[in-house]
Amino acid sequence: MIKYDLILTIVNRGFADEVMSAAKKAGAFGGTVINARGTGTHELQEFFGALIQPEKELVLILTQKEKRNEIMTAICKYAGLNKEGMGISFSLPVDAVAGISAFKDDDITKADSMSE
Amino acid sequence: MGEPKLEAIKLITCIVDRGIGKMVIKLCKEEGISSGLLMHGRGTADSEMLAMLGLGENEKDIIMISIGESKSSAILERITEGLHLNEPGHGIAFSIPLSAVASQRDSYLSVRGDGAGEFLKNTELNSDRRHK
Repeated sequence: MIKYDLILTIVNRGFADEVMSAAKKAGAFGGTVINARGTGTHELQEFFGALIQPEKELVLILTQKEKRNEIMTAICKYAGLNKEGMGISFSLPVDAVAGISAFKDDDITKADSMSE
Repeated sequence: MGEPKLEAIKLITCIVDRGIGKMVIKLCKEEGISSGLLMHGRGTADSEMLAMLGLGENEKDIIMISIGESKSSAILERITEGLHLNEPGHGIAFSIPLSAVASQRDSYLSVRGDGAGEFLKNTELNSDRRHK
């Protein structure tokens, strides 16, 4: 039984691609990006007299549990809090999945060829 | 009537192509679930390859539905069948166990995903609201 986790990453608007390229290097297949808005008070900036809302991107990546640590480490390294994207990343356990059986086999063969 | 039964709650999340999201909502309505959240997003899987082929379509619908454990697998199955998620490229769906839920209609907590937890009385929430 293959177990999955959902990795959620929140970054400043425009840095989702950076997160995804880091995640893909660490073995993620794909992700989904949702536009969002941050509400941290220290992030409210005055811009020509008007307050601007901090715009964010929320990246959802569904992945196998074994790959989770590697992907999250990669995200932290390339898009973490100390980088420009100011990202935070967390993962949630997933107990049922549908629609990824198609790349499951492909995934196993890929993992095999990588270890060789 | 007695105390309502505690049940673990799951959040079913479904990521499909733009425009298909309302079909998921429709399926859920057929199953008696009236509330759902639909968001717009964009997919990033193999986007370079798709762009090369001239298939720029990577806009997605994300649907989130919270539902009791007893119904969640049936709904997930229904969505899988209805949207042919078993075939590649039709989208994905997954369920996440929630640790606590609060809503106006039925307020309860379910902890650890096994249904054990405390019941948060509706009255507590309501009185809270009155004070504010």
